[in-house]
Amino acid sequence: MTAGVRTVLTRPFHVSGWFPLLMALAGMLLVMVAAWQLTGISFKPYDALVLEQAAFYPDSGGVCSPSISDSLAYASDVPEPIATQLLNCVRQLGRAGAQGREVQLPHEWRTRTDSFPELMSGRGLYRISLDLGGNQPVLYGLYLPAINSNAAVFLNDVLLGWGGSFEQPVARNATRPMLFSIPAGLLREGRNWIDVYVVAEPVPRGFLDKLYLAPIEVLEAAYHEHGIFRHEIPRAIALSLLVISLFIGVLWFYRRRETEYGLFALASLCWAVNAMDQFVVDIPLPVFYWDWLMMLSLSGFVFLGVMFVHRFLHEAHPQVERLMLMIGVPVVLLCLVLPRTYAYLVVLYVWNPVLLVYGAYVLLFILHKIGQQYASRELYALVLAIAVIFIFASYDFTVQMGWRSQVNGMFLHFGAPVLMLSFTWILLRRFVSSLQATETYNRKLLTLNQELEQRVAERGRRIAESYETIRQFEQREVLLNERSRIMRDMHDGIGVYLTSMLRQLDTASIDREQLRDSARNALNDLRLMIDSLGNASTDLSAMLGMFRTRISAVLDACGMELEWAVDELPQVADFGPERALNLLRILQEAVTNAVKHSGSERVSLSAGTELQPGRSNRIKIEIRDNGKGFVDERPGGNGLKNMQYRAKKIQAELAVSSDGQGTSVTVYLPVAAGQGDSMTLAQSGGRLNGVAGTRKK
Amino acid sequence: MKKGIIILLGTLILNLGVAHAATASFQHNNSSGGKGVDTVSLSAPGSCMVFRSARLEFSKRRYGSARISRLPAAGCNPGREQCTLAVEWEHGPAGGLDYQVVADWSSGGC
Repeated sequence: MTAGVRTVLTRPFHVSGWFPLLMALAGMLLVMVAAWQLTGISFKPYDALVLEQAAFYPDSGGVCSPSISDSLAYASDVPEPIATQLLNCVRQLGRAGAQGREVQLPHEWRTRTDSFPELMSGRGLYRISLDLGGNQPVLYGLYLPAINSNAAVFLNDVLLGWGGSFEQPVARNATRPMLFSIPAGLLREGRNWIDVYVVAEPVPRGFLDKLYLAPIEVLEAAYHEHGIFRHEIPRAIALSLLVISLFIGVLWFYRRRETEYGLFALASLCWAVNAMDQFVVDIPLPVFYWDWLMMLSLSGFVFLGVMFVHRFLHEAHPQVERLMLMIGVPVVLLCLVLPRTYAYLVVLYVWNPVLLVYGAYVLLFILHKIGQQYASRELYALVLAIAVIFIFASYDFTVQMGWRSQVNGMFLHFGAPVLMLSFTWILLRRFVSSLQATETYNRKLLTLNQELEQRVAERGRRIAESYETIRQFEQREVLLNERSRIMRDMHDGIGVYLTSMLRQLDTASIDREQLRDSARNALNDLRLMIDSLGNASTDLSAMLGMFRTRISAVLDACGMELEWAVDELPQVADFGPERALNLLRILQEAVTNAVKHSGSERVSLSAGTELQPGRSNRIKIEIRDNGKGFVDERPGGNGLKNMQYRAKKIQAELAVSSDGQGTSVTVYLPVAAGQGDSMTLAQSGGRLNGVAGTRKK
Repeated sequence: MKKGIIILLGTLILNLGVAHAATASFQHNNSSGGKGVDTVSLSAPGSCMVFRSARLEFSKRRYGSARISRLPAAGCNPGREQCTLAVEWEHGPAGGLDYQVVADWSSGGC
């Protein structure tokens, strides 16, 4: 159950607490009066001849067979038809009990068993004399409104009809009125005899209501109305209970956490089974087991009803339910094994009162909740339905106890439509409430979505502003860092050369050659710095191109040849002005050393991507001369150390090798992630062949 | 319209001097049915009136019937002689009869 529905359920009725309670009580009183009137409904055809006096001949001597086989009707050899058997039975009973006892109809056997011990046979004959003063102007009929269990009717020794099987278990006609038409001429002026042979099972339930004689057209209309009330409506009620049981059962299947639906479905099913007792004529079981099944279904209905109410009100009372089961299960099982007479007594005097007490408990339980201001409209609907059921159940109890006549039948099943209407209304109300709540939530959700979108847009705008601010701060920081780096590079590079020149100028003898070298070095460093700050600083190939321009002039001046072999190069990781300057300084130092110290005629610069299986590729830049080489570093020389320092600073590897054929300085730069891995074989081959960009001078 | 007026006037002229009088009422409601004869001694509604005719008017007739079996002679004067009328009736079980005898009288008995 959703929270919304629970809210609806427990919402207080917005009227004063006592007023609804009084209304409920008034409604119950009204229902009680209506029920009382309803129980008074009986068959009253217009102007019919009512037969109320009869002579009764119980079959104490076993004249009639306890079970007359129905199979005779279908047998190939029928020595004596059922009608003949019945007629013989009636004639013999009439003779045997010539002095029949006068009884008043309706005649109930349960109250006469003391004075009629022979009634215990369960069979008896009612003989009614009928003195008619007039002829039979139209077709007449004989009507039996209620009888238990079965009867065969004779008029002047002619069988008019019977109510079904006389074979055990006999047909049950307690709620099925019977109408027999009288053949023309059979009803004669003067003395007529009507014989009604009655079989009752069990014996205490036997009875015969008044008989009615009237033209068939008069009886027919009343018979239909009475039959619908007594027989057809209970059938429709049982069917409705079955349908609603299935419907609520399916509802419970999809919402199994709400056990009240499952309990209601089971209770309805039990009630549907119990209501079958009101219209099933030919029962499929022996009477005792059928009655036990009815007792079981009624008990199940009451138990499940109590459990349903507990859960419907969200009031757990496991002790009460456990106590009910502890009492109920043994009693129900006991009735199955006890001798029949005792079993019926236990049901009548013990179990039925207990069930009635359970019903009263449920009613008082809900009224108590209403008194606690816990009421809702659903609760009022439920209490009204249960009150109606309780009233009908109380009436049935009085019938079973013998305080009221059983000829009018039982009325408990008439409470079912009220309960079904009530519960259907509750379900419908919950459905509508849920629907309305869903629509409300949807509208709220839509509004919330719009608000959320606006908030997200606002937050997005603020985040963009924050990012812009951060970007500006980062730009400033980069600018400051770059300024610092440039100042540092100028201090370490050109500053050193200028300081050296100043010191030389301060000395007495000026070495012009040395001064020129310092000035040239200062100028070269300045050019390198300018190159490293240019647009090509992030592109290694372009930067090498600029470097080629710088050194070409120097090498030309020295009469040295430059061989240039540079492939297409991938991006270098984090390659920027700082790394570019350091790389240029390394290359510049290598070229300067070659010019100054190698005595070579040719300098070559090659660059390409070196494939490393299982590792990231790298860029290899090599400057090689064909000079005399060197054996080791001169003491105090810082050239190679500076180169190593700068290589480490830009995360590159430096390899210097020298032999009698010349000197080689190689720089390995790591390739940016995702760059150079896809280097084609053609590119690789081109680099190895060293054919690209060779220039000789 | 004209024809209707003629019929009305004709009826009035014919009935001029004729009196209708309910003489006796009978009820037979035996639930077992019954039959019998009801005898009525007619009496004139006024002096100088003589018997002219009689008929039965039923207020209830269920599964039964009644008929006038014997009429006094036309012109019978109750002031001078006994004018007796007999009705035979019969109804079945659950039936009944409620009827009255209505006699027509005319003046000219004096």
